[in-house]
Amino acid sequence: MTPSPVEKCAKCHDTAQEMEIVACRDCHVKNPFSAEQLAAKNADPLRYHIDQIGLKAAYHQGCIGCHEEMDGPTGCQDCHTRNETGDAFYNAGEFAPKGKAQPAGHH
Amino acid sequence: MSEISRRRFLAAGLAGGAATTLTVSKSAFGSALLEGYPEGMGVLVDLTRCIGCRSCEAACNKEQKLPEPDMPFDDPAAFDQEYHPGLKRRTSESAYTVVNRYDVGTDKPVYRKVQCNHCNEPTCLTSCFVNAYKKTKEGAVVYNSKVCVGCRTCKVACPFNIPAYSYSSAFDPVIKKCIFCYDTRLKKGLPPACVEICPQEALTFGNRKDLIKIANQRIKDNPNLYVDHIYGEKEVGGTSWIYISSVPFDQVGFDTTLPREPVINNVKGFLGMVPMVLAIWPALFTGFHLLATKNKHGEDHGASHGSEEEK
Repeated sequence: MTPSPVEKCAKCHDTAQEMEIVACRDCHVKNPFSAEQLAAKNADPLRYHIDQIGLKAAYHQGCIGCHEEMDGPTGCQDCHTRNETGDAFYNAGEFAPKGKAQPAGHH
Repeated sequence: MSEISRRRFLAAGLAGGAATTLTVSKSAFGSALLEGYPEGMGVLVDLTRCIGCRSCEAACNKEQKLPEPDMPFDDPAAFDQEYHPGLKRRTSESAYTVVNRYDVGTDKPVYRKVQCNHCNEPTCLTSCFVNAYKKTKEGAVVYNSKVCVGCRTCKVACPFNIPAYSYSSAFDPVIKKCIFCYDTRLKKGLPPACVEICPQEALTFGNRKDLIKIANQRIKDNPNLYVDHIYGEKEVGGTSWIYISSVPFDQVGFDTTLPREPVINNVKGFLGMVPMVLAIWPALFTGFHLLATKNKHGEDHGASHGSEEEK
């Protein structure tokens, strides 16, 4: 059986001091797949936290779980207002493809 | 005397042949356990995290400068499209990756991203007779479209149905597929565009060997969530892109009947015999010829029925 987070973390963190402020970004970095991050991961073969998600994913995974339970907004545009750059990226709005009805992915 | 030398000759020939076969087999099957380049990169796809936003499709389209899509990338109607009745969307010359939705009876649908899996021993590469494909040390399977003759053998050979063909090009149709953003990103140590855009980190980029550890840790830490299998760890000799899922893989479009060994191993034994044929047969048949000629000389003296036929 998986130990509770307290038991599990305490094995290494029992002497750690309680901190006044804990910021998401203290653990979840902005660019989790940068060459520096991957090099740091490789440099320590005994590293336990090998699966630390990045800041963007931490926000999304942290927020969406509760939002689903509490019937909060969960759609992309419920939080992120779509601008012109977004429309261009997703080929939506005024950048939407016109007059094509062929299904994608034929051959 | 000639009987003995023939026997000796045949015995020596067989021994030589057997020795060559053994040597060839050993080297041919030696790579069965090849696990790709040690520094090879990969992507771990966690199906439990994907929410089907299709941002990866949009990012791929922009990064690879692909043509305009058929419908906006934020239109969920794309999930209802089929390229043949009953078959979900697949990769094409204008989309190197697609996300498909599977309703498997769980509360929420499961989404599965499709793109080249960048095999450790790629069948497309093996099947290509102009040698257009290359497995780079970073793990990407790339191809040179300048030498592609458009034979589409790789399309048939790929166990994942990935290579697409530019049927729209009348004069220079070539194969098109995901190249792991090799030219623009991977080569420079950057993750591919789809990984970078993913809001959920359903895609994790890293050294393939580390990704296996991460995948095992996620399964171990959440035994009730995940199926105890890493798809692509062993399939067809291992792929750079690997997957973990909360539902059995065959329910979300994965081929679970693929062998664990690279597909090339099915033909390596046979192909390994080709050099043996080249090395042994000339000597063998020269021997036969000499023996036959020697007999003929003997027959000339003895004047048997053989000389009758010669006339």
